[in-house]
Amino acid sequence: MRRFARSLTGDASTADDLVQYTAEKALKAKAKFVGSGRYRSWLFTILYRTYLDEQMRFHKRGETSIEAAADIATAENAGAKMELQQTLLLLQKLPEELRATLTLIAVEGFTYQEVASMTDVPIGTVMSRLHRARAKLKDLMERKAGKTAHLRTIK
Amino acid sequence: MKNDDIQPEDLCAYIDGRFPADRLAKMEKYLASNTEARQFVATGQAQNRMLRGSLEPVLAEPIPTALLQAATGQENSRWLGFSKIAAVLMVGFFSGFFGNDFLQQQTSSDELLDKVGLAYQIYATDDVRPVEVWADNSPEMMTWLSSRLETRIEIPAFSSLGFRLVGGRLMMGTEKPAALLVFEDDSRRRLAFYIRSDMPIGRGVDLDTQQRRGIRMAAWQRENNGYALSGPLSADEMAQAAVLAKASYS
Repeated sequence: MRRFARSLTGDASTADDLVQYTAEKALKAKAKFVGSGRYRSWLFTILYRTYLDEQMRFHKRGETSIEAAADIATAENAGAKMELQQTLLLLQKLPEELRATLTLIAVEGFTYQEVASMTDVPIGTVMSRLHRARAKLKDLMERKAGKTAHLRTIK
Repeated sequence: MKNDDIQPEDLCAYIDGRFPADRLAKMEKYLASNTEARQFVATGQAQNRMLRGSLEPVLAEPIPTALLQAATGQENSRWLGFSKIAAVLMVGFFSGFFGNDFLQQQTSSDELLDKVGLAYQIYATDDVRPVEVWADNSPEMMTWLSSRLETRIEIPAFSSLGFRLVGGRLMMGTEKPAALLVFEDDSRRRLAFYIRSDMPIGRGVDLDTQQRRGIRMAAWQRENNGYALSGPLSADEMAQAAVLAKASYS
């Protein structure tokens, strides 16, 4: 949950707030869990809907602290942390529904059917979102690679 | 996807290891003849690896101290604080906090993951005797294991992933015997496949995966049968292995 929250918000403390808020909602609503589908996807659904509802709040804070986090990452323990931050920054450039669909499937391992019911769209939409997310991510990565190459040539 | 031709969306399903096993041959033929599709798949797989790899450290990050303290310090507090709820949820995430019926399916797949993880470490990594019965006696072994578990045991066709059967052994479930099949590839990586037939009946878990110290695990349930895989595989390989294993028990 923390990982998915981090992918959505792009920032550690905002993500933990989101998880905390989700946990509270889940406990309140626990009686409503009717057991259709898996428990894990039920929690992720709450997390995702909470994020959508409170997007202004959770996102706005995210944007300022992404930069701060990126600064820290460049300073020390570069490797993995740097990679994580770069991925988070990349993900933030995807529209929210593509970002969620891609990470739920590629990282969190949910099935297309599960993601369809979590995001409340038909399964065909999930598949086309996934397709678009992959194309867009490829684009972003190539553009980034191009920029780096460009910088290198001027140097 | 009314007809059997490969659609653009199928490529995504293939990338995610969710492409139906019975159409894999068709997909591979399609990919062999279509450079653009091949590139899309390669890029998609690289993206998956990049996303999973770079986001993985989040799982290893320590849970914020405030939450941990709240979870460990005030067990008897009558007031369930905001952060305590979150902490208990995260620390004992799958530990039955919500009560048994509620979490049954989750705990049973967790138990499967634990069992197969341990089976991998104890048996599959053993160089001398990873199995009781070696693969050359596999027909006999399958009959024996099937009768002990009182369910049909099949050897999944992992050959497309480069794994072949080393052999198998009898294991323990909770109430009845269980079985372990061990596979190996050319680089001597081992893959453990654990099967038990005494799962509490519930809504079958479709697929749960986990990774601990480089060892990946997958578990699912069908009726009373629980199945779990464990080995040092990539996420893509594990997804394919699960598809193949599921196919042999469908």
